[in-house]
Amino acid sequence: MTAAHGSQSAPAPDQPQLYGLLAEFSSVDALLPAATKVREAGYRRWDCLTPFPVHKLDAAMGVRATILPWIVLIVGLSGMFAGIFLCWWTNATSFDLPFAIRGYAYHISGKPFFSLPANIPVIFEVTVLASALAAVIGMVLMNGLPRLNHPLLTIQRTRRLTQDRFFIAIEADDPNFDRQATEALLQEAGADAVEEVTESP
Amino acid sequence: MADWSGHHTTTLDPNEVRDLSPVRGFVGLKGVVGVVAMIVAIILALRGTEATARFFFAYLTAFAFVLSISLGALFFVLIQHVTSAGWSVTVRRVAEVLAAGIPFIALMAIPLIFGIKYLYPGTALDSFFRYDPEHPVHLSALKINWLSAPWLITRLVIYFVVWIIMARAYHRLSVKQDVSGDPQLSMRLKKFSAPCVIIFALTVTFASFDLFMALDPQWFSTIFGVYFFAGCVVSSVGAMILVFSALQARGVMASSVNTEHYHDLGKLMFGFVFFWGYIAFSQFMLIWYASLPEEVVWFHDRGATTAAGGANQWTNFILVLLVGNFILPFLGLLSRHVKRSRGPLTFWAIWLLILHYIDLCWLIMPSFTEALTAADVTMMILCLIGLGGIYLALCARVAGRRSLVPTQDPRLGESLEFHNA
Repeated sequence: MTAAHGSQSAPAPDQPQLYGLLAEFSSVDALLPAATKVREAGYRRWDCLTPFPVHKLDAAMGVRATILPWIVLIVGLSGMFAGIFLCWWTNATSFDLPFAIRGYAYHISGKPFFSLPANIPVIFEVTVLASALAAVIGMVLMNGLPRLNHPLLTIQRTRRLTQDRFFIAIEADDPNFDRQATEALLQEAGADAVEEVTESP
Repeated sequence: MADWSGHHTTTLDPNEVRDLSPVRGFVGLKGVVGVVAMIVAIILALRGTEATARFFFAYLTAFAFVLSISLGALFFVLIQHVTSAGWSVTVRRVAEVLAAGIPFIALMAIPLIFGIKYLYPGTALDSFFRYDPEHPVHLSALKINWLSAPWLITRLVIYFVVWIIMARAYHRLSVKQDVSGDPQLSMRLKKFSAPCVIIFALTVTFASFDLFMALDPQWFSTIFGVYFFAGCVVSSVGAMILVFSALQARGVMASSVNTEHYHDLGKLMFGFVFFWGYIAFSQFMLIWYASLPEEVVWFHDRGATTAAGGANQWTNFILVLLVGNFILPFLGLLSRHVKRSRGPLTFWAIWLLILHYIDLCWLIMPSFTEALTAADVTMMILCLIGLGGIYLALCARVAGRRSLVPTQDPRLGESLEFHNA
């Protein structure tokens, strides 16, 4: 909160760096128009922090649709093909692969070696497993997790983030970020308080 | 807007949900067409024994179709109360009406009693209600007793009485709340919903055994009830989407049912499309794998074989069901954009209703014939138009001049302001 006034001067490597600005709001009704203002000012690297899900906030912030479904689809389909390959290779082939692994073509109750109905449970489960892992891991990574701490959590104000206060945080590495102009924008948008957030390197 | 405080500012426009007159003529016409179609079907049925048997099988298929929509709607209503759902309040009344049409379906079941000797060989009747000890069915004594005509009819009566009590109660108390505004009614409906779901599961399972599995009394499959149930849910949600779409195109319920509700109905339909595929495959795979003669016979009659000369007309039905009732709607409904657009979602609702009928046809008609003739198809279409039209017109009567949305439901505001995350 003390160092790094004037964001453009490159600070010493061990000095705390400016992470961004944190603005506090007392209600949803104050937060939503402010979020609209920030979006209209063209900021990209910023977020709203609320104690509970707020309807219409996504629209006010202009949050774009996530690409996570596409990742899940692609990984899920890969899992499906992997499952088909696994069944075919283990049940219907007997060629040698490196490391002395080979399939074992084995007749079971007169069914063909490569028999899709018997393999569908395996294919299905591998598809579901791959999709679920892609969804969970993709979600975690795209949220910037795992991380043990966040600069915003060093601010005393954010203790009420899980109770009754609403915040907008704009990061310093947003191309539109300007220490004075951004603070003025947040004040104008009706913030109860605007505070600087720093980050130790 | 201030959702967190528990206050909802969006209110219901009472005019848009009360006035059914824009659709009344259309629905009335459907009912008249239905009666005419039914009369023509009955006249055709009087032309000889084969025509009579054809009529009863076609009638049972159409009967299964309207019954599944009504039962699926009852399940929808029950599950909303079990989960104390807020999102579904504005769409729940239409489901209540579809479910409350079940007394009329009970009346539609009466003709089946006259067809019992054509439909159910397990009853071993040589003529109307006369037991034939020489009848060529080979069943255990227990099964002969279980499937005997008096006990079969008794069970059907029990199922319908239970369904009528549940469906009418959930509709009646919900309508009562429109007048009294008493939130205790919601609590009461919720309290009974969980036991009702259990009773529903048991009755639907046993009814599907009695109505459809008994067509081939030697065959058995414990998952059969779940298979029928999956079709019930898909078709009833499809019917609800179709009703909302048709009403909104004529200006009824224009704002009370919005994109968010379509999205959730679409999710349910999508989920149960996959559930149907999952159950259908589970039933098939176990029987295919074990390949026991007494189990494969049912699938053999229905064309599910790769044996030389084993394929018949019903093989095409299986392929149509696999692609049309599972793969295509799964891919088509996968995207959230489809579920949130009324046009495409309505298309899939109609598609799945048609495919659900084809599914029931594949369940029932192979017990009558190896290959459908033009006469069979004509009879089936007449019966479907007949029972479907009559059911639709009678459901409109149930809806009456009451609101199409539970106006005093404590969760109405939540539903009007509902947003998918």
